Amino acid sequence: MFTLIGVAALYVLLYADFIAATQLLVYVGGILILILFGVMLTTQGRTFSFKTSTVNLIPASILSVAAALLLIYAFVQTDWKITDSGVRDETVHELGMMLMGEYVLPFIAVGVLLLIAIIGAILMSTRLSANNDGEV
Amino acid sequence: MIDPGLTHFLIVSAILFALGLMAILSKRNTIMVLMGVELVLNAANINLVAFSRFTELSLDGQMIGLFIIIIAAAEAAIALAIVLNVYNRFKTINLDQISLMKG
Repeated sequence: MFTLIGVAALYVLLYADFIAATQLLVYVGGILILILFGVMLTTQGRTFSFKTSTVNLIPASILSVAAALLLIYAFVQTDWKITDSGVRDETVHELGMMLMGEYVLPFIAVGVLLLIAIIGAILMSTRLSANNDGEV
Repeated sequence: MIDPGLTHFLIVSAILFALGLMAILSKRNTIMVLMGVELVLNAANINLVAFSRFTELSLDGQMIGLFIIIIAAAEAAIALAIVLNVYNRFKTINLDQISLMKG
């Protein structure tokens, strides 16, 4: 959770206030609660201590450290063309204009996708409880 | 105190990506693997927003980041529904014990 809030703070540092607010709302308010429900609904038994079994710790650490070093090396070595765009005070207005102008088709598509995803999730979960009752 | 440049944000995102990758590879609880996927998505998002700040990819990067957040929300909802179904069937969410399709 502190990771996600920290990412939101980074967005504020990058003059992306709307993205930071969305990050807080969606991740901390939505996904974290969803994951909490998942953890609570899938605990086994009453006296279950939430243990996260960890396997392959050494190969996984080696691989991820290698990936991190490779990425950092590439990021440091590359000569980025930096054009400082200065201080932005607010991005909400511009983002809204872009969303209704240039990006209106992806906006609609992602709305429909989100609707379908939520309907699918509800459908799967209700079938689950119907199976528990032995009705279907 | 120096101002953080583009490279600093990229390094943070690389570390976040590595931690997410490590969670995906080493955890055997399905929900923890999902958390790892969220971390990887967050790393990509930091990259996009950092490039939108420091290069001429101006607000397009933030727009793509916004869409990534929305897709991540949809993915989390679907994945947790799948996890609940799997738990209902197998009574476990340990990834090594769900081996019904193993030949």
